[in-house]
Formats: sequence, structure tokens, C-alpha cells
Amino acid sequence: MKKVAVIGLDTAKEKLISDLMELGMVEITDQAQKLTESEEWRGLGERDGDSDKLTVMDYDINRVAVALETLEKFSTAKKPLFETRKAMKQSEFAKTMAGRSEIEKNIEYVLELNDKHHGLKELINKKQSELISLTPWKDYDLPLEETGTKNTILDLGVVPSTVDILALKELAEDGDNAVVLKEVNRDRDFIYLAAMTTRDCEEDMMTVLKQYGYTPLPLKDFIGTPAENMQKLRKEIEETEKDCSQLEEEINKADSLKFGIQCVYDQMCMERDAERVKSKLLKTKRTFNLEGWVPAKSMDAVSKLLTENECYFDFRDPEEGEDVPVMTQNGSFVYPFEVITEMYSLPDYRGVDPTKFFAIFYAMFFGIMLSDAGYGIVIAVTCFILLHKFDLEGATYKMIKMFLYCGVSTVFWGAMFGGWFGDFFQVAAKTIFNKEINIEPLWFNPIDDPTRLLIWSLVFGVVHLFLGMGIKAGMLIKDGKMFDAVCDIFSWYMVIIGGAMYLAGGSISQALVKPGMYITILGALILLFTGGRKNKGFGKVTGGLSSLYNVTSYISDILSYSRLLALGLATGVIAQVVNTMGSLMGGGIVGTIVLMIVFVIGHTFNLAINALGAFVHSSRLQYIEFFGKFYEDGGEEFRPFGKDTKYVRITKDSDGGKK
Amino acid sequence: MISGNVWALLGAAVAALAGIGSAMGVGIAGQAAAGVLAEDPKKFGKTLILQALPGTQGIYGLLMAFLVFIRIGLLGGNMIDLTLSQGLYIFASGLPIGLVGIWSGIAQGKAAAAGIMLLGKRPDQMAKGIIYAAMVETYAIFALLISILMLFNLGI
Repeated sequence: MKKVAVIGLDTAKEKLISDLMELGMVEITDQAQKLTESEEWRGLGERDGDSDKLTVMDYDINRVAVALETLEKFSTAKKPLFETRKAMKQSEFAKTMAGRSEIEKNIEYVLELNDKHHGLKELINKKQSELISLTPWKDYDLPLEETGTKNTILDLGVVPSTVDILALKELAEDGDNAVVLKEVNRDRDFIYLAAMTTRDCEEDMMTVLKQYGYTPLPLKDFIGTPAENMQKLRKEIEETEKDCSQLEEEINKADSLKFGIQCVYDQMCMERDAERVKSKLLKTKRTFNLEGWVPAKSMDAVSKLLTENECYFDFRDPEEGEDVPVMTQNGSFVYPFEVITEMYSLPDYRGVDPTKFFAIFYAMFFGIMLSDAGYGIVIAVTCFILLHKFDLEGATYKMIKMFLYCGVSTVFWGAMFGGWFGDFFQVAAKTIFNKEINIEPLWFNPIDDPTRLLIWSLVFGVVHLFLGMGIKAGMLIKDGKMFDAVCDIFSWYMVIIGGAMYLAGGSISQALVKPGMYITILGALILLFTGGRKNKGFGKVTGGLSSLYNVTSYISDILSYSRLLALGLATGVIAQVVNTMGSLMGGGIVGTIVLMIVFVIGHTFNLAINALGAFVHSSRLQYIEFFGKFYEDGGEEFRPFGKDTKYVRITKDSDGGKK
Repeated sequence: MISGNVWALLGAAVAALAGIGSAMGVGIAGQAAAGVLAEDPKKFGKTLILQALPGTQGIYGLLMAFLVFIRIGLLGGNMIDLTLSQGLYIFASGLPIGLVGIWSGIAQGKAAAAGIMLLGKRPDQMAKGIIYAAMVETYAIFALLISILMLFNLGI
């Protein structure tokens, strides 16, 4: 990475920004801090950018987003499995943009439909809540607008359901007032009352009722009985819903307008980004100043562009303590595995990118844990088809490509262990054709001899761990700390290799046992005497002991790889169980059909659950065991200023649409 | 008199009890998933992955039970006669995954539920939620390993 600082004339600014966006190789950094913190810069210029203009642009973009959402919501078209950006040549895109005013009219049209739809939905809601408020009164058979006669009054309301109506009536009568309290309905919370009395006694009655929590109901807007009103409301709701679905149909028909609107959305986003990036620039009356990160390999392209725009510029190396963005670069096989590193955290700018070291192990561990050639073929073929059918980009592309490699690895290990959909072909041949066939594993079948695979799993684990430790040693040696590498890394190599020779070497040759013991002791002594070298005083003694005690963590790291066996066995045995269950109906047509159905359902389930397990645990072995030995993370991703579009991928007219 | 075969089948049954842990774990994770889905139904697929993680203990239990069946010839229909001590050996081999499976399944369910919450707020950090849940599973895997090694090295 190089830092570029640019000063240019104001007149060239717009053109430069659009050129930089086209190029997409510079991450423009914010400089506002410099104005307040650096003595040198204070008062020299001011921050560029127009936040009012940005707000307006964001508002407009939001409106288009709403229009797109509306279309999305009511579209009946089938959605593809992956949402991919459509590749479009620059000239094609410009042609679409020529019709922008037309498309903007379409946007207004869709928004109008959306507003109408909202209005209708609101109307339905309103009527429905009216309907609900009327429901308790459905047995009340007087018109709701009726409030009494010449001498009597009639009032409708509710009291809490805890009130005793008879007692309330007595109280309201107060000796000689004529009061009728009619209970119309009752539910968990309320009693619905129709209260009648003479006009003279109205005030007395109301006072008493209100003391008991009586609330008059605002049903005065209705004319006619509740039952009539409810029927009318239901009819109206039905009609409005019909209008609503008609409108939805209309919106669905407008789906063909979607692509144009998406192009405009992307165009607006690019215009907004170009405006927004200005706030990271500094300006004086006639000049501007821009700074940013450029990958070393793109320096030439950037200098050419800056020279064209008649800017003054200078490249420099990153300074100590500066947060430099990270861009990982890997070959075509390793590259997809970057997605695993990204999931953890990117490497520090000055650290090591671990991807190229673990890629092969990742695929290998995945293969051993899934360990079925049939499943491997399914995964590899599926990924291959997805890669060719969809124009995938970014993390999704990497992920699918990584699984393609993992699938191939699974085929390899499945063949080694003799698993082809478990023992499906043997079982099928026996049940359907009554023939014994045998598919020999290329290496050995773990179900027959799990201990053997356990030992191999641990061996693979030790190799993996040693690689991680070796990278650490390499980093130390590069920093000129050879002594540290010997004390902290190579001593452990000795302890682990010697220990393995001492404990297990006997089964190969008795001659290994003795030397193994000496190597272990030598390694342990180095640890014991040098472990505390960085401590002071008494710590020099305890440091050695505690570094020797680390042997527990190495043992647990190594044992962790036994999951290769356990998960591998799980796939194999469950696949066998599925096949056994399928064969229970015996041969014949029915038996064959049952076998096929069980095959599809059972193996789909087993594949899904075990592929998930293999993915998760293969990642874990990298993250915990491998990364723990050396990895320094915490880098920020390099995000160059470019065309950050959502729906259309704009390609140069000259190239064939490559990524 | 309880024969060796009874003990062997009891061993298989104990191993299958690991399913209790998975059932509870998947249930806990499912509740959290439904809560997150209420906010954003598009996350169904992703929550489903996290919800499936505590399901493995049950599978390991099932696996162990089947391995016992295969060993004693239950599935073939002609069960071999085991001595009392052989039966007890097999019973013992079912214990690790059966017991560890129950508690690790529940604990993994809780970790997975927390991962689902994480997914709700920071979808980009989902992978880390998966790894947290998978850390718990390590101990179920170890228990399964011990169960398998015991069963296979009994010499039956």
C-alpha cells in the first residue's frame, strides 16, 4: 500500500472524482482531523462537501428504494436462488440513462400506486376497528343514533366487569329515581350497558355511574342498529379489499419497469457517492487536496490518471502507527478460502495472510469429516452448476468455489475410506438384484478400524500445528529473533516429536523409543531453562515451569483433531443406517421404490447436517488450533472508492465483462 | 437374572438419551430464532443453520446406539449371546455420549440462541456465532470418541 497526496485545481475536481470512481483503485481517506489537530494545516483550507445537497440526494434515493420495494412486494415473478448483479456495458448503461426522465415518470407512477395501496389498507384497518368496536353491541336492537324521547334519555356505555350491576342500579335509583340499566353484553374486561332514565334524573344517574367507572361510548356517528351497521361495514371492507387486490395486480403488471428503475437507482447512488466523497477532501478558494491509499501495483494507473487531470501528487510509504487498509492477494486455488479468513478477521497490515497455508488443510479436513465420495460428488456438481449458471460475485462466489474444492476433496477421501452414499450400492445390489458386490476402500474403512484413523487424525493434526508454529518461527527469524524461535518453537517440536517416538514409536521399531525419550527431555530442558528468560527475579524459575506446563494446551490442541475421526464415522454410520432402513422392505418393485425414497430423504438429511458439521469444525480447527499459534489479525479491509452499485455491474466497453 | 444382552441394549438406550440434550437445545435455539424472524423474516435460512447445530448430539447418540446394534447383531436378527461382563462393558460404552450429550446439547442450544441474537443485530458476524456454538460441541465429540473406542476395543 502507498499513500497518495494530491493537490489540484478546483476546475478539475469533478472530472477527477468521476475518473477515480471509474478506476476504483484508491481508498480516499478523511482529512478533516488534520485541520483541527495539525498546527501546520490549521487555517490553510476548509472541509469540502455540501451536506444539504447530500440530504436531498439521500431522500430521492429513498423514494426510488420505496418504489423498488413496492414492485418487489407484489411481484409474482419467481425469484432466483441468488440475487446477482446484471453485467452491463458502459455504453448500454448510458443508453438506458438517456431515457432517465421517462424512468423517473415510471417511478412516480409506482409511488402513486403505492400511496393508493397504503390509503386503501388504512381504510380497511379503520373499518375493521369500527367493526370490532360494534361487535359487543350486536344484540342491541335500537338505532344507535337514538338518545331518548321527550322525557327520557338513553345512553350507551361500559363499566368494568367487576361492577355489580344490581347494586349499581339500586344506588343510581337513590330511592325514587326511575333508572333502567340493561346489560347488553359482557366480556372479560367490560359490561356493556344501556342506561335509561327520565330527563330530570339524568344528572344524578350519571354522577353515580361515573363513580363506578362508567364511560359513555362514542358510537354516535352510526345510524341504524349495530347489526345493520356491521353488515354494511363488512360489505365495505370486502369491496375495499377487492380494490386493493386489483391495485396489487396493477403493481405486479408494472414489474417490467423494474429494471429501468434499478438502473436509475444505481446511477443515483453513484452520483451520491461522488458527492459524499467530497466531504473527505479539503479545499481552498481555487484548489482541493485529496489523500488516499493505493495498492502498490496500481500506482502507475493512478499516476497516469492524476497527470491527465493536471494534479500535483506524491506517493509515500505508510508510516509507523498508521492504520493501513489490507488487501489480500492469493492465487486462483487459494483465493476462495479467503472467505474463511475474512470470517475470522483480516490479517494485520504487517502480519501474515494465513490463507495460502491453511487452504489445502481446510479442504482436506472437510473431506475427512464428510468422508463420502457420493456426497462429495453431489456438492462438487452442485457448486459447479451454480458457478456457471449464476453471475456470482464477492463472498458468495468465493464460498461456492471453496465448496467446489471441498467437494472434490470429499470425493477423494470418500474413495479412500470406501464410502459411496455409505454402502448404498452394496445394499441396493443385494436387495434388488440379490447379488453380493464389494466396493473396496482405497485405503481402509474407518468403521472396521477406528483406532487407526484416530492415530492418523492426530498425525494430520500435528502436521497442521507444526506448520502454524513454523510460521511463527519464520516471523521471529525474520525479525532477527533466532534465539526466541529456538526456545519457544523448536523446543516444542522436540518435545512433541520425541514424545510421539517414545510413546508410539515402539510399534514401528524398538530403536525409536530411547532416542525419543532423550529428544523429549532435551526439549523440555530448553523450555524449563529459557521459559522465564523475559521475567525478572523469581519469575525466571516459575516462568520455565509454567512454559513447560503448556504441554497440556498442546495435548488438548492435538486431541482436538480426533474430531476428524468422530465426524467421519458419524457420516459413514448414519449413511449405512439409512441404507439399512431402506432395505427393510426387501426386493421387488415396492421394495425398490421404498429404497429409493428412503435414499433421497435420508441421504439429503445426512448430507445437509454433516456438511454443516464439516464446514463448522474445519473452520474451528483453523481458528482455534492453527491461528492460535501465530495469527495477528485486526486489519481493515481495503475499500477503494468505486462504483458501489446494487443491481447492475457496469463493465468497460473494451473488456468482455470479467470481474 | 439380567443377561449380558439386556445390559448391552440398556447401553444402546443410554447412548440414545443424548437426544434429550439435542431436543432441548434445538428447542431453545428455535425460540430465539422465532424472535429474530419476527423482525426480519429473510433470516430464516441463516437462523435454521444455527438452530441445527445442537441437533448433532442426538445424532451421535443414535450413531452409538446403531453401532451397538451392529456389534451385537441385533439388526441381522440373530443376536449373539453375551456374557454378563461383556454386556456391562457395552453398557459402560454407552454412558459417555449419553450423559455428555444431554448437557452439552442444552448448553450448545443456549450458545446457539445467543448466536441467533447476534445474527439478529449484526448479520455479518454470524460465522462467529456459529463457531461459539461449535466450541461446545467439541466435548460431545470427545464423548462420542470415547464411547466408540470403548465399544470397538472390547473384543466382542
